[in-house]
Amino acid sequence: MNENVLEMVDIVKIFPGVVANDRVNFSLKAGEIHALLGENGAGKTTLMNILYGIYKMDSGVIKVDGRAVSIRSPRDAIKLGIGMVHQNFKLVPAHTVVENIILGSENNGFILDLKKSSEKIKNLASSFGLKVDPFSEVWKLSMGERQRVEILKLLYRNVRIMIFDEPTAVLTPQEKKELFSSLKEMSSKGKSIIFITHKLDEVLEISDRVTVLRRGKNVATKITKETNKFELANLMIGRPIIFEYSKNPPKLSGLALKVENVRVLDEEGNLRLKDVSFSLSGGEIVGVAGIAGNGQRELAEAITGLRHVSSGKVFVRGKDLTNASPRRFFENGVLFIPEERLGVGTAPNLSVAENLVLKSYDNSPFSNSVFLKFDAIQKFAEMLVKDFEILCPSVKVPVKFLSGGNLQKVVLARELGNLVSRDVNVIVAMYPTRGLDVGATEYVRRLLLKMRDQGNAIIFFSEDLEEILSISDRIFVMFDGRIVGEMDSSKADVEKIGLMMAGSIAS
Amino acid sequence: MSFAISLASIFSAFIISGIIFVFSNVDPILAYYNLFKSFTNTALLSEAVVRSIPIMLVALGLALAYKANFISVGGEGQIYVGGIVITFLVLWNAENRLLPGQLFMPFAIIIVFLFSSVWGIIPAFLKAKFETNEVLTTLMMNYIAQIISNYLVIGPWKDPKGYGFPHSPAFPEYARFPLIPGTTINLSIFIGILASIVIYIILARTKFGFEVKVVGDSYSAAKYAGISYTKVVCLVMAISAGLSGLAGMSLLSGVIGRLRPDFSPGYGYTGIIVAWLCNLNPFIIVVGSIFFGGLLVGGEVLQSSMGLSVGITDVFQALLLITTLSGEFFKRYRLVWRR
Repeated sequence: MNENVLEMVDIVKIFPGVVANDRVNFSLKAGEIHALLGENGAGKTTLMNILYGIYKMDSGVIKVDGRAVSIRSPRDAIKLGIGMVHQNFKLVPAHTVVENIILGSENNGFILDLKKSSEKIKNLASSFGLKVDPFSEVWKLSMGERQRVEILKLLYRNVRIMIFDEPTAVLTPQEKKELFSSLKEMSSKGKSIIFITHKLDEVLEISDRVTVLRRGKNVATKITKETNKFELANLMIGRPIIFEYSKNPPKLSGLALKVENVRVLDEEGNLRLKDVSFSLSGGEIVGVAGIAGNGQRELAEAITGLRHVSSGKVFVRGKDLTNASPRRFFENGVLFIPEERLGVGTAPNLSVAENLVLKSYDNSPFSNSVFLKFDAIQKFAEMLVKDFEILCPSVKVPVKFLSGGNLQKVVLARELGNLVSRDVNVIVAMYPTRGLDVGATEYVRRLLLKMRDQGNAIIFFSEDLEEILSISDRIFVMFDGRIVGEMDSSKADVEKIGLMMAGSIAS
Repeated sequence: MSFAISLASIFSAFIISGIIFVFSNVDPILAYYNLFKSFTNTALLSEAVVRSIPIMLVALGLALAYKANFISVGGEGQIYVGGIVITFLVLWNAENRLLPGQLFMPFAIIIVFLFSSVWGIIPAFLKAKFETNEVLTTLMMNYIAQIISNYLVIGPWKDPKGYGFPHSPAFPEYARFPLIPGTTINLSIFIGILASIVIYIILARTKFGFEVKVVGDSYSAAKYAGISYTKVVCLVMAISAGLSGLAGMSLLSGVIGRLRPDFSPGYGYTGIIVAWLCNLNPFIIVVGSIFFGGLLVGGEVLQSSMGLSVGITDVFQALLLITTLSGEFFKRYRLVWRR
């Protein structure tokens, strides 16, 4: 157990303008689960991409079993027994599990023997507790099952060093539990596991040791048992953070949003929202839990004018806005923070300033009837950049060069920085903190709470139950196009929410 | 760096065509000398500018469409539509004599622009409403326009006094663009220059230009921001096709003087190359069009002086496009040699 299977020594990786890894050291023992903790942009993924042969390091040494190796591609990495489960699964949806697993494997003959392969997969699956049907097509599988396919892909190739990049992001609480037990099973059978995360609870729950990175540098390597949440948080962001959000009791004002029996069809004509009804008052914040793909996107788009509602009604402060244009929703104070910051929330090649006026460019003072007024736009943009602490070299740089957190601040600044209606606004936020680091996450949550205290009605969608529990007043659970559960957050029960998310029970 | 890559792209095109010259048993140096002769000789240069006018008008329109990420290849068809409309106006006025001569051209410019616009809105509307592929629709419409034009010229509009030749009656003097004294360049060049200024202002200064850029950068962001895709692409294609229609008019009223079958030697397609080569920049397009006009003239010089096929300029143009597009790759990525 004490032998290092992997050593990374003084790894340096420089991207234009940023030192992503600055003499980082990392070691991994046989049979160990080693968490790699850090905020976004701390260099965790960069380090692992170097190990997996996706990036080339500028200097440093990688040793596997004490021998210096050169890893130039993922193929080299797999040959050395190093494999990675990416955040976005790399599977062919129309193919079966076994086809996906043997794809690209080097011991296939000219004619595929799927039967033999499936036997091997079944054996692997049962010995590591990774239940999945080898002949099921991947598109039919849940996210948790797809992840198991990715893990089996590595086991099939006899990988002994396994890298997991934020593996819990797409899982339900139950699936997460199953993943963790599989991880423990694998480590007990001698596999070494690197677990990339920015979630402190997961580090404490699963890992043997933890290495913390901050701004591309090693901060510490600790034995998990000998540390705690607050020390880790401190190490990770360089200052203590607060986990509790002090919340004032909600001061409800009148009805802000009312949704009645809304049905929505997707592009293929499948019913995606099945008679959804709810109402939202000014001064409250509602968190919507659910596994991605259960109608959240359709619901958010239906109440912001982006998706056609096939039956039912949407009222904003009593006004019927069913199937009104996105522009009219915006003008009526419905503000939308979409899931994709780049490409939907912002136009990637347009500047920060242009994106900040994306919805208001045709109003004074930003334009007259024909021409844009660049001075006014620039002044406005600079003000928002300051107010929302957006880090950018100038308001003229294309937004695609901003980090995730700053990009999200651009979207927030545009939607919330210049409240259209002085009355009550409805704020619809899709996964507002997804992929953001701890500092930015805290900022966004506080901002949402501040908006609530100012009397706005907020509905947000999140895959982070802790987030939903900590900031919302009420909780909805979505499953299969319906709101299957609704509860006060003070009376919420994580276990029950998890079961509702999986469709096992309804309230 | 990006400028160096552009130069390298052009240089590569020269090298590759040089190899083709060698295989055609022609001295490449001499061939290039002839190809670029037009830029050393006033008469040939004037001819180059003449050729550049329709290319310029088409390329400016296409640049606007491409900024909205509407990949139109319909310039050629729109040239024919412009040609049909101006010929119709000439024949109509010859019969009815409603318009006095001095009012005819301003009126004709507006009518040609408008009718060509309608032609251009068709594929834009189809794309906005039914998600048809604009490359296919605009390309198909090119054949339709060209065939209608050819039908008219050998059928109803054939010159009765033309000894059976397939062309329309000659345009009267009032339907011709006057020439700049001492040159062969007609006044429609100013339409091109004006268009480049207008397109520049639209893109850089106006709300509409902002909408075009948002739509072109991200369809979803535009939808999210409440910008109407239908409105933007229809308007963009109206302007784009209108300018290409004027290119057709400038060919007939400025150079040929009557409608002929297949009267455009592919200016609509050359415009595509010029728009991309000039990075969709309206001012650079003016210069780039004159350069391409010179290439066309040079190709004819090559043909007459060295017996090469005039197709050699097409080959050179195509190579230039290929090397430029390949160059885009190097502008975006840096090559790293791994040991």
